[in-house]
Amino acid sequence: MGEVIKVDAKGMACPGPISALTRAYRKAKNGDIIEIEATDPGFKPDVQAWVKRTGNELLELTEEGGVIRARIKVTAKRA
Amino acid sequence: MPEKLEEVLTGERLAALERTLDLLVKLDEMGVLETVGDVLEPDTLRYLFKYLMHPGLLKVADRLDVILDALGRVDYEAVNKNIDLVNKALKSVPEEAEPVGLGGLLGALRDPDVQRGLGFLVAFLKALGKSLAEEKEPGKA
Amino acid sequence: MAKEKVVILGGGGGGAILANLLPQDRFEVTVVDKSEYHVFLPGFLWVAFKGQPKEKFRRPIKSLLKPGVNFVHDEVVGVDLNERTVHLKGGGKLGYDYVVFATGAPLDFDAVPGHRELVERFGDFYSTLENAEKLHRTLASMREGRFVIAIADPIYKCPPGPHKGTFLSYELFKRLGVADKVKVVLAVPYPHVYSSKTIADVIEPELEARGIETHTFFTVDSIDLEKHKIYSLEGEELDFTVAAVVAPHTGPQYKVEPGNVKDDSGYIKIDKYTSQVVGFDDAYAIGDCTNAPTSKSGVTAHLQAEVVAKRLQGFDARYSGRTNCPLITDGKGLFVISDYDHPPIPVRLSGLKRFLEELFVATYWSAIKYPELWDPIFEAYFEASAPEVFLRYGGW
Ligand SMILES: Cc1cc2nc3c(=O)[nH]c(=O)nc-3n(C[C@H](O)[C@H](O)[C@H](O)COP(=O)(O)OP(=O)(O)OC[C@H]3O[C@@H](n4cnc5c(N)ncnc54)[C@H](O)[C@@H]3O)c2cc1C
Repeated sequence: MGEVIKVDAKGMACPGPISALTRAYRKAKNGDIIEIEATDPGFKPDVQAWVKRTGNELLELTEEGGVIRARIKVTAKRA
Repeated sequence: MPEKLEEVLTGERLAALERTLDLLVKLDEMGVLETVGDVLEPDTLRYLFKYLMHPGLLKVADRLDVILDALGRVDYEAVNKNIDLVNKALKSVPEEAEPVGLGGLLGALRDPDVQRGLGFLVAFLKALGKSLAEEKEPGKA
Repeated sequence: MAKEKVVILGGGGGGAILANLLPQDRFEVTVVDKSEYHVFLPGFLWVAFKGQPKEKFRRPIKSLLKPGVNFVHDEVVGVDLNERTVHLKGGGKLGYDYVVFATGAPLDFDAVPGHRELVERFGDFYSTLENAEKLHRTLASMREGRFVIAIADPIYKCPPGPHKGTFLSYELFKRLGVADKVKVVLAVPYPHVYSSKTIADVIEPELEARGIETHTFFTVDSIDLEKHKIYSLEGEELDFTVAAVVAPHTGPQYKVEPGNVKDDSGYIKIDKYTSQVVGFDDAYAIGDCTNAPTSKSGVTAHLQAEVVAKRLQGFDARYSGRTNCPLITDGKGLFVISDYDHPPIPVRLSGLKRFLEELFVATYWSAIKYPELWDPIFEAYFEASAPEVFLRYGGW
């Protein structure tokens, strides 16, 4: 079973939540789940693009009260 | 550090130093040195730069190339001829102009002042339209 | 009244200015630095891409400090905030009334496999003047192939630095007459060519016009010097003939007691407005060594130094998070202007900004030595160009 890595990127603008995601991803292993919360409105399209480019799995992407929340399953890390 | 004065004061430096000293004497006689000394106070500088660093000035300075380009092409004779007219008209516009509907417009058209203004605007619009056409299709008009 | 003892750790961009700002009738100021020289880091670009002599960008720290400021040439190996003691490598100890961390963000060349070998072979433009000199020699001898600039961690000093390197290397290859044979490549960890989309939109056409190849979502994971390949965390790879990779940055490597004043990445935790170290009213941190959520830049270090100087004298002063990072192309420049409350505002590339950047570089030493002359000028500039002011003018 993988670990759940929580990242709070609320209130972060540039270089922003994607940087926080990248840093969490560096530490993650396949099977882990990254849960990230952000308030930067640019995060939604950015995280979608990121998932597409890296080939990881987007489990959930929601927006509630200005908080964008993404749950990503790490599947594409090089062994 | 060099020990002796002769090592520091080479021939060309001595010549430059003599000229500098003459200049300093001149500046001193004219009171420039004393004045510069008096003006060079942190507070004077602070206010000078506070005044100079206006965001508008920064923006204008940044676009000096664009602005000079535009200003260089202005027909100043034409501007000069009409500037008083425009100034006067701008000044006499009431603070809050009344809204005018279609009916009011027809009434206003009977006013000879409005007629003269319209004449000017129509002539201007005609010229503007002509240059627009030329811009689109050079050589057509 | 006895003078209060202020010990400043690091005599770089932040530390040296702070030392010169503190009135000596009230404070006994000591600067500790492991290096005898203050290095002007942006100079790396001028050395690596313009071939300027490295001596221009390095001065003895002692020569920059006002007479009366003590300089201790030693390495800090530990700070005990509870005991108010700074431990030095030479075995000495310094007590203080106030301590200010200003030791910058050292680079970690062991985090990315293959990085050390890469720098040893080619040099780089982020670590030392010697490596910048080496990179210049490497680039000047390139006749063809691909020069790749890439980034190993999204948080690094001067966010437009790699972009400056990109434009300046293109200019160098043009001067050498090989711009059509050497491809310049820029790879960034962000979704766009710059972390802020507003700025990315301005420079993207400029990169394109010069035929510079760009890659987004590319965070360097490992480097294979033999195969001439860089691999990204995101799962892609890039071929290079020569490459310069910005290394991951770190917080202070020395021990600080209590340990919880460092964050997960090792940076000193501060109040982002006052620069006060969390939990201590006699400790501050400025510049690259803090966790302040703003760009690591010389401007930040300078403005935080001013805030700390004022606070130590009993005035209320706050740092707004203001950045002013320059991004230059071969002919024009812009500044990335933002603060805690405003993401980068729209700016255009212009000749004036290129000139201003050259002026900042030319007057750097003077600005450190004579803050009384420069601060009124900087103050006026930062006030007039504050994000909320310029936004009313539609940007700069
Ligand atoms: C290529 C490049 C371009 C840049 N361009 C710009 C720019 O255009 N504009 C801008 O604003 N910023 C720019 N920066 C960033 C800027 O240079 C830094 O943000 C700035 O120098 C930070 O100042 P500092 O005082 O925090 O750290 P530094 O200037 O790095 O100083 C830290 C000092 O602490 C000393 N030190 C470290 N550890 C110890 C120890 N254990 N004991 C004793 N002494 C120690 C070091 O020797 C050094 O002298 C650039 C940086 C780079 C690399």
